[in-house]
Amino acid sequence: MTLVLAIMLPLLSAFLIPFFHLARKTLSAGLISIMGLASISAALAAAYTGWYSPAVSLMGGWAPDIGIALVGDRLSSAFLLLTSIGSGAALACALEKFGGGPWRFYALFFLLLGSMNGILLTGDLFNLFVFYEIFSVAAYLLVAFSMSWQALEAGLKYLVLGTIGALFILLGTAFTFMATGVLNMALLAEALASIPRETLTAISACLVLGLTIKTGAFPVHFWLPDAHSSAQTAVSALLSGVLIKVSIYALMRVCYIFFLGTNGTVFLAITVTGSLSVLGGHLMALRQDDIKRLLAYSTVAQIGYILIGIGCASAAGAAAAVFHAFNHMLMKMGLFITAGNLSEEKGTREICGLTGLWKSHPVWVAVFAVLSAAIVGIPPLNGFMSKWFIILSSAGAGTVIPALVIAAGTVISAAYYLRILSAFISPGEGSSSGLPPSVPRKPRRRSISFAIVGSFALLCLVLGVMAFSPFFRECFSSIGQTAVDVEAYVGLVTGR
Amino acid sequence: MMFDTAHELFRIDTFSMVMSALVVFMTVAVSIYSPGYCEERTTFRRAVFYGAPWLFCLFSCLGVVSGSWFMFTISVELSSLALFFIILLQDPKAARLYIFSQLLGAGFLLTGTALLGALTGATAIGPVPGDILWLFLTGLGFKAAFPVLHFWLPQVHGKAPTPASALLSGFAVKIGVFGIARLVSPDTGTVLPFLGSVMAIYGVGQALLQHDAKRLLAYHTVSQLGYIVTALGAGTSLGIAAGFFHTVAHALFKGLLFLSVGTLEKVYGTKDLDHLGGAARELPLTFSLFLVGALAISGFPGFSGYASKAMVKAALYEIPNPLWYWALQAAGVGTVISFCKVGYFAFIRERDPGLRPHREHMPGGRKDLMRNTGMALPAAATLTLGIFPGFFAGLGGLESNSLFGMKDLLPAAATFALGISLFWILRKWFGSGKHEIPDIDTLISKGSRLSAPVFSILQSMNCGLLRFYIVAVVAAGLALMFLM
Repeated sequence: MTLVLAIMLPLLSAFLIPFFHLARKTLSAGLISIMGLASISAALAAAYTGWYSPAVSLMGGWAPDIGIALVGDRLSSAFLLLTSIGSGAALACALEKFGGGPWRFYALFFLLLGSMNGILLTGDLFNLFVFYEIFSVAAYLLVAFSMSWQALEAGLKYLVLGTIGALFILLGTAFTFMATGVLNMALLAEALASIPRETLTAISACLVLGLTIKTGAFPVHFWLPDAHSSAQTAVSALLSGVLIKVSIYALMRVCYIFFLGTNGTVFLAITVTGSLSVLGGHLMALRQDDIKRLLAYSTVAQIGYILIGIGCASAAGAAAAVFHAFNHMLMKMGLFITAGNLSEEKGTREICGLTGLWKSHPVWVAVFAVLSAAIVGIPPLNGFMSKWFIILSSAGAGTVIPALVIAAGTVISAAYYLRILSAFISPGEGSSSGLPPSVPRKPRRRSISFAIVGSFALLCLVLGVMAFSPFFRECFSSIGQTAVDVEAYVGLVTGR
Repeated sequence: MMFDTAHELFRIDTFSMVMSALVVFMTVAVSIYSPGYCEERTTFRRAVFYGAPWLFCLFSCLGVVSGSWFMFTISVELSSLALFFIILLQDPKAARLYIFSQLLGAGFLLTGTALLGALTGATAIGPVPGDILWLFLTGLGFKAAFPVLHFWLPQVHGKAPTPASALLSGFAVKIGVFGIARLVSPDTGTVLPFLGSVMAIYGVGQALLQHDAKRLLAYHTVSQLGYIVTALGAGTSLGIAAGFFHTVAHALFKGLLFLSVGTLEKVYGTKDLDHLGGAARELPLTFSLFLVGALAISGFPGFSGYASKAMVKAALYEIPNPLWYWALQAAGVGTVISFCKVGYFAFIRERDPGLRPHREHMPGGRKDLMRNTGMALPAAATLTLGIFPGFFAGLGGLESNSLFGMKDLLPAAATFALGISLFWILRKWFGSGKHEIPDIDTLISKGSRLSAPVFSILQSMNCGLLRFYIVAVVAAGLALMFLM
């Protein structure tokens, strides 16, 4: 039941918000925060259930082969925790900025939240596609929400490329159904072992490509930089921190359950994509002048790290990928919120214009420095630890190239984060260009946003140090075990 | 299994204790010197200037006592970060070059460590199997300035604030050497002496051409590291002990030399040998301290450099190939020539008449006192080690008297005679204008233009045209299907 609530409560909130708006004309921020709290606690309750007693709930009592099953195990719990923290933070930032005003925004937000929880909990391939469609529509609209020219263009690109991705997922699902006659993932895990090799290749290519487009990995990343940089700060943070991770989850789940025992090439393809992503993302980020675009390309690179972890096809690799996904949520959301606030203060997103901030906003700059040190991978922060685990597991898979790619990526990322930080610290207000200094705006108080990024920065340190403790390692290796243990998943769903 | 815990957390033996003592000693000396050098205005910058060396000291100590390659790499990376901040105060470009090269080295080391863990199930510090040795040697080579991987060293040493240069040359590069010493196994027997001899000769050759005093000293660091690496390559316990002795001796006298050049830089406002001169009369104490360092690095009997080089050569007698021995002898002659050059051009001949010393830095002031006290510590240690090398000789199983035999004294005297006379013949040539052979760092900055096509391909991939994106995505799908 808790699993259903995690999907229903946000969807219900999304449904109710327009009615509240019709009845009262203005929405209070309190009401939205209550809805948000309820939805997030439902998701956390589902995560708790999934962690301690992996659960299956069969919708309408239909058997798994014809009905829809919701499955909560440790992998979905980990990602539910991630999305809950991330979307909670984004909601808080949005509330602080907009108040209760834009009801459409919040309706879309809750729709997104419900569909994300749906993706994380569903055990049915077609149901996954349906939730993906809800998720994508909400995301397209949120990107375009500010209705500026750039936002609309970014939203359109996201829409077109996202639809192509969805098309491939649908194609893969259709092929699967034609070949086996079932859509339940657990049953498919058994059925796919006995279908012809060519069919399996077509299915795996379609599903992997579709999901890779949604994750925004390098050769098919084109929608990501535009979408992540044109949206409003809270949405950018949500997109980079949370939405991508949901796609990562879907990719992990589908690949591990379907292809772990049947088609090893899939994992090679994922590793190659990951390595390309690391290099391409970092190199593109190096060339950006717009700080949010830079962060968006850095996301492409970080997705590459996660994909390398997934591509190891081992429990250690999966655990490292989940850890890095979690860390990236903390770091990138923090960076986006900080960068968004600072660039709103200065009225520009160009890095060379973001000067003199060390004088005016020292604590924000300090937080940015900690977060960027974490994402570059300075020990003992969490970004370093998760990269190390990824290197370890990729070495365990017997390859050396991804690890060297990660090392090279670290250097490139150090270069561009240093560039941002040195701009922040430089005295600024350069009159050499002859332009009049920008009109100093009245500084806005952003105490909630600051509390969020501050605690994220603190968590970066805490998680990095905790990664040394055996308890923590056991937690993460149990997530990895769950991810690759297909038999346990099948047993859980079918009750055998 | 994400970690292995099957190794001890720390590995403390004589070598790690000597190294820890060395870094603490160097940091103390540099901290005493710093008040005479630091001209930072704000409290924050001063805090970095005085605090960073101690942070460096802390992480270096952690690095040398750590029991696994993982902890070693983390500590070393953090110690580089501490130095990065102090270099950042003076020259952001050099600081960036430094941290990038060190991060790259750490990446290689971590990759090697991960593979080591995957192959053997443990990452305890020590020799590694031959097929992943190259990762470790490359990673440590970035720190220990192996040929080609030394691209960062001259620039960073030359541009860093002097206390940082002293620590860099005195200890930061030695951590790499320490790691190599831990790696020594029969597998390293061929590659290390070769690399070491190339470094010794190449470093001296470049040093002879430099006219920036700090850059010159930086190339001597490469050259002296060559001695150490060659000694380690002998692979015997005598070789390792000799390598350690030269590590310690070099840290002390090179730190001392950097500090004395820093004094010149402060007093005259330049470190260019084309303009300096006459400092021996105005700064007699600094000159005598410089002389201790210069005689030590050239291997004059009674100074630490002589004893440690004699021990290195004793180690080389044990391996059959005489080539390495003669390479080091030749490097020794070059060292003598180049320190005659520094001594003559910076201290003895008449200087550029336009150059006036800054009054506040002249002898008698507090700043000069602090600087000379800071320099006196390593100078005293250099002399002590030179006269009583018994401890290090004992590590290699030698009597300290055996280092002062005729078979070591005669070559040292010959080296000196040859070096000084060659310098006297060539001094006009050294004094006239610039002689340059481009080093790898200029080649790299030229070669970075080659990366332009990569960027332009990437740029044109992200052209913003939706129709291109659609085609690219569908093509990726078809390619995937085809390849699977």
